[in-house]
Amino acid sequence: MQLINKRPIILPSWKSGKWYDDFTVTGAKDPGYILSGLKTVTTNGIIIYPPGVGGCDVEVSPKYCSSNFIIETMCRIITGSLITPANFRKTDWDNRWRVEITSGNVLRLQKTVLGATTLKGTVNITSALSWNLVRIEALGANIDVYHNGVLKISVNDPDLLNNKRIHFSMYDVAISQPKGEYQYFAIKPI
Amino acid sequence: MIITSPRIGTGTDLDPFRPDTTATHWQVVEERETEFVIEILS
Repeated sequence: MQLINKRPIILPSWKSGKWYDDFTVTGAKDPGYILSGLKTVTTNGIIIYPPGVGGCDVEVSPKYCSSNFIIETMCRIITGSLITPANFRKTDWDNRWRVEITSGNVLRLQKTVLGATTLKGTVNITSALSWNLVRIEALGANIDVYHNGVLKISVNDPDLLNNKRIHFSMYDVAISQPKGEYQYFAIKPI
Repeated sequence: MIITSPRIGTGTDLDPFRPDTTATHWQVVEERETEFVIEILS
């Protein structure tokens, strides 16, 4: 496992509550390259290290699925154009939300329903190449997106009430060359 | 519609910095020392 250049782990605000670590990795684009050494568990929750040369899908264990949850991740772009801090869905893949950071230094929230994607919010960030702390809170019909501790996008969408499964994607990180990396990745039902 | 909204919160995990708004769909356009410029979205 590549420990991201052995960089010290910067623990997020996991000061209380239980952050879950027994994710089941499913649906990977290329099973085999993603799993080995991908996950390191700490007493504070989960640390996932995509090895910097690939992406993965992570599907939360059903017992932790909830309509209300917090996702928190620290990620950055290396040379690519896009990285996806979180991608979560409802009962099927055709209804999902995606939080993206682009090399144009934009953080955006999108909703996709049956293949049609709608931009729900877009804010400027200082640098996609620096570590970006992204926190998504889904509570009831609200989705709040925080960037570096500041609430930047807030959306109300009743559809989220039926959320039963949460699916994270670390796509947009090419296999052949490092384009982005995640320092950690965690979820807490609330 | 773009409006200016006071900044509330202490910057902690439980009380993050955020615009003081009751709008249900908005995004930050600009972050200032004591206020946010936000865009109210439909």
